Amino acid sequence: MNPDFDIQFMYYPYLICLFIIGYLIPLFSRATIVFGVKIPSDQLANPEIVQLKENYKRYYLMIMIPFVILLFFAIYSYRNNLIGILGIFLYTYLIASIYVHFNSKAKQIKAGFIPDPEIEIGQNIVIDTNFRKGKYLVTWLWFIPSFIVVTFNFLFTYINYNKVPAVIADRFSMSGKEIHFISKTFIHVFTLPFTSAFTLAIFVGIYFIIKRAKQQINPEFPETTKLQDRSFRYLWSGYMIILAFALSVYFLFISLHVDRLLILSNQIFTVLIIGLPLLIIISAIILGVKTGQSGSRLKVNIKEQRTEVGDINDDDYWKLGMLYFNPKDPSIFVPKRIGIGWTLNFGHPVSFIMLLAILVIPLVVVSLLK
Amino acid sequence: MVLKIDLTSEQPLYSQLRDQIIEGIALGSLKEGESLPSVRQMAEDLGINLHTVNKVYSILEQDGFLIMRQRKSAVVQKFPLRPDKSYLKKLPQQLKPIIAEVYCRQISEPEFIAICKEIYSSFKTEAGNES
Repeated sequence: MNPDFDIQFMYYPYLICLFIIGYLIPLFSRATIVFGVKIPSDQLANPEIVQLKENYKRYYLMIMIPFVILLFFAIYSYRNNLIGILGIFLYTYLIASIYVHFNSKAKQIKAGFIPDPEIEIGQNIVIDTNFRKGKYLVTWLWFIPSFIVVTFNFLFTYINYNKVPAVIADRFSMSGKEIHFISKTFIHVFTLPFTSAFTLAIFVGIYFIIKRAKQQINPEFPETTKLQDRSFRYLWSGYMIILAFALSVYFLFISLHVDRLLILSNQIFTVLIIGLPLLIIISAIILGVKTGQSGSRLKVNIKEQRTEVGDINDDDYWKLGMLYFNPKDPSIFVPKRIGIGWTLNFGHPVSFIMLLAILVIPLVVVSLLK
Repeated sequence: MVLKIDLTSEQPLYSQLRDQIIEGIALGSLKEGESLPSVRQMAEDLGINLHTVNKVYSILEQDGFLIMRQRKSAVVQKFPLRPDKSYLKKLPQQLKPIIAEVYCRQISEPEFIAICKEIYSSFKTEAGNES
């Protein structure tokens, strides 16, 4: 069987996941943020806002279903890697444009709101000085097993370096067969252990971002939103630890298989390569639907009356409802407004250094390998 | 304790923060030995300048409310504070403009005293200063 033909199918499950994520975006966001625009909680049941959310689903399906079908067809008939990659880019672009459109609609609706006289007008920010005390993160010590696995990967490969054959495969078909070989060099043999270490470092990094990112307390419901944000951090920090471990074990097996120090059957190899990334995406979607951004979908065991303190209106800092630009804010990482996770404050110079690093590091690594 | 700042208020941010922390200590919602977030963490949570938080912490440290540990975290000091002569000197000056306005608005002395008493006793009842 033509291996390239097989590889094209890899895009299908990813595209389906992207499709689902796009549809669920409004569900993930914090309750008071509608398409990147902050809506006071008394206006959340506003018919225009409810209608807008319904329209999004309709628009989304109307535009994206034909696009997905077309893309599936294109990938199937051209069997070209570029189509899949371009498709994913176009996909992201389309979702973003639909989102931007709804962002401006939400802004228009908001402009017509009459402020609630009960609510104190102002730009209020509420924090709890004890937010980062007690149980709000799974301890970082649970990263130690992953660290051991990564170290083992390095040591085992190093000790058995002589047993690695003179050529090793760097490309595999979907059925797990080697289709391209490279000579045995130190860098080639250790590429996967290094990738594994790099991945672990990224997860540890995300863990500390989860720890440090701005508290998301809505002054209208301070106690509820505080508890939600804390549980959110607990669940996601635990998820990062589990992912880090799963990936370090994954890289250990793949690395030993590629270096021929442990030979897996082709089927197991294929299941690992395709299965784990998919499992990660699916579990992330499930956890995302369960928690919502900053825990907005989590139930808490308290009944709280709305206070008279209004939430801050920071819409102007969120360009297009998705890019945070606030030079006065010393934070580098802030919780996203769309979907779940954290984003950069583009008003902070360090953010650009980080972006540059993300772009430059893979280029340097690739050029080193050549 | 829960801190609230209003970015649109006329009162400067540092003084909003300072007042609330002192109030928290008086009410007992900040207890002796309790630590406050580091300067950087507090500034990031509030989304305000580092220097503003730094200023608040150093003012409070000078006045004996906090003690800074390794320039990182601030710890609430022993309560009650020892009486301070310079504070007693400053106090009438700080009260003067408030009482002047009270006088201009024809709020009677007993009425004013009653308000003061009420506020004072709110600290007494809730504070952890039984010890």
